[in-house]
Amino acid sequence: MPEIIDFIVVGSGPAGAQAAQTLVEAGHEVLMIDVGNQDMQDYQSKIPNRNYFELRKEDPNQFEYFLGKSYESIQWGKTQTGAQLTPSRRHILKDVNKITPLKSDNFNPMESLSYGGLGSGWGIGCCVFSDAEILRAGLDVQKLYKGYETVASRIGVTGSDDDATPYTNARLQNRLPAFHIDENSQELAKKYDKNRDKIQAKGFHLGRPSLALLTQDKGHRKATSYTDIDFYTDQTLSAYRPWITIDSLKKCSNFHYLDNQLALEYSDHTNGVQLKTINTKSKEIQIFQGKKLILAAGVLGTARIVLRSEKAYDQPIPILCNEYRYAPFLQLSRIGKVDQKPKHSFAQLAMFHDPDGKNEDVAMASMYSYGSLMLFRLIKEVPLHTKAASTLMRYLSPAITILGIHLPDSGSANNRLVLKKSDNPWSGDDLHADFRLSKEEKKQINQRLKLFSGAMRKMGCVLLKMIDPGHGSSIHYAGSLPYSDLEKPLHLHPNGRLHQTQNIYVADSSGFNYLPAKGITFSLMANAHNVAEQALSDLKNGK
Amino acid sequence: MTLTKEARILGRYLVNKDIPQDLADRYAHAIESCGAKLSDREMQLWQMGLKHPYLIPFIDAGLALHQSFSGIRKRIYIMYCVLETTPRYTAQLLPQNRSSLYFIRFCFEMALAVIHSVFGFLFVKLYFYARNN
Repeated sequence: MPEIIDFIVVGSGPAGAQAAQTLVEAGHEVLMIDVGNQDMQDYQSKIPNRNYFELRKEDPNQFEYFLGKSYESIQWGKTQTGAQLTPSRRHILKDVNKITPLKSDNFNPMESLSYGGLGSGWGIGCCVFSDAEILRAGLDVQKLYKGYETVASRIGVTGSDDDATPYTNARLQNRLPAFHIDENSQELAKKYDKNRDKIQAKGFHLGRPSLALLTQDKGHRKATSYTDIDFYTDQTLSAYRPWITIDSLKKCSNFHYLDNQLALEYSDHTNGVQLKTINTKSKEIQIFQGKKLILAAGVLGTARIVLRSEKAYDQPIPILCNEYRYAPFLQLSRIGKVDQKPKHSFAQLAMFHDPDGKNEDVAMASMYSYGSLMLFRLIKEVPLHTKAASTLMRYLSPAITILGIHLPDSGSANNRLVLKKSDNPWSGDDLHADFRLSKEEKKQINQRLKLFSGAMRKMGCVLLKMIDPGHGSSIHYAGSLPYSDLEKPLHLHPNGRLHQTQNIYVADSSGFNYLPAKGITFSLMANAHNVAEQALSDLKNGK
Repeated sequence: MTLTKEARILGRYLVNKDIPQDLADRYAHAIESCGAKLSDREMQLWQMGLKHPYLIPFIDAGLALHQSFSGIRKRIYIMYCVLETTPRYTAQLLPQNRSSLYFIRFCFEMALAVIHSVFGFLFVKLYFYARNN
């Protein structure tokens, strides 16, 4: 590896992976700095590539990967962010509380120091933002769409043509054939069709979501075999995960990956940048030199690095986060009917609430069947004795559709991040968050949630419970270093460069001035590619 | 009472079967890993239930209303998790296709569950009241 590398990329999540790929393909020397925790129990190799129901009926070792070797899937108490992670995914959370804790009484986000970042547990939703949403976020429509096409061609994104198309894959050209949906969802779709006029009159549109899921083989990655074990294993690589990109890049001679490295701070100079890191095993401090630095550590991780580097302690910056609820609904016509046919585990359908029809203030519900999640996750919520709760859930769970509802966020003065000095042995500081909703915001959210319940009722579904897991649980964050055309500290140029620096770029969603509800990952990957292209251009032009 | 005996009692409660030693061992291992310690007052209630297993549904139901995340419920929950991930009990614990007549049996079982809840709640409340005084 050269002493002064062309590009240093911090983070191996969705943004870091796409930025790195763009830079590597351009022929430059790229160093990726990452903590990179992996699944040390190697659960994935223990899971046979068979249908979920076959495993349940036949594999005597299933308790290892369904419960975990230390029974880490047995979570007791109120549901917390990340509780849904299966044993093979729990490494996503490893060391976060120890190394990069976030202090807050009212904001409980999920962060990751793992190989592939939060992308290793991503629901693989790939909706495009509308033109209005892109502009509101502070980005360029044409450029972002170019980014969408590039990323879609790299990772494989399904498309479909239905009422949800304006909200899912709109003008996207690079699309794979639609996946097939399970019986529950087919019935829901039929009921929607029957009541379309009434449901659309309330601003709701239903269809298949776009997913980063292969429905055709792509290189060494195989098309989904609909085994419904996607929450536990990625063996066939049919669902896109950022580590798949990193694994491929590692085969390139101009890509260098260093794990166990926590990026601490940068110093920006006319001729390049220095990045200081701490080794998470040995605590050794290292300095890396590069011509350009691309931060893709996630909004919260990037905030720490930037605030620390700019010595902006005790200085609040904004934070955007989608409000999130999850709600099990009972589809009355499906009670007593078990669908054991092949299906994937991801969202089967998506419902969009677009009250004024402008595709700007859109709320989104991803709809999941309760297929390959164990019943024990449900029965602890039932106020009956365990045996009765089991009887109840065995009867009802095949008819349960879970809605994961995201609401857009345009930001508020109430919602802030602050970096404060502390005795944290890794960085000497801690990130604090304060996140509150006004009474009016709460009222609007509740009204919108009632409308979702109403729409589901028209499709023959009864709400069982609306669960609020708390602020931060959407795992979608943005806006901490807002885009601005003005050269202001702690702001980004829309091309991704950090203002008042020459060589620092931010490729994650830190700059987004608006956070649509449609799932941010596809858009931040597209933007990361664009930021990398900008950094390439700037390097070439001596900027 | 040992965890092995406790596992067997819970196996009979949850799936109406005697469970083999390897599952009892797995339960014991899970209890140690998950940290399902009981407070003094819970321990006495639990010992009573293990001595008179017919009380367990009432205790379980009563705590589900009174103190849903109690240590006792956690132990029962852990056993359920162990059983659910064991193929020999899959037939009992996996959802199954049901005829419309099953609804009648279902309603009967739920009515019984409600009775367990009512009496269980009273039992647990009285027990804790008596213990505090």
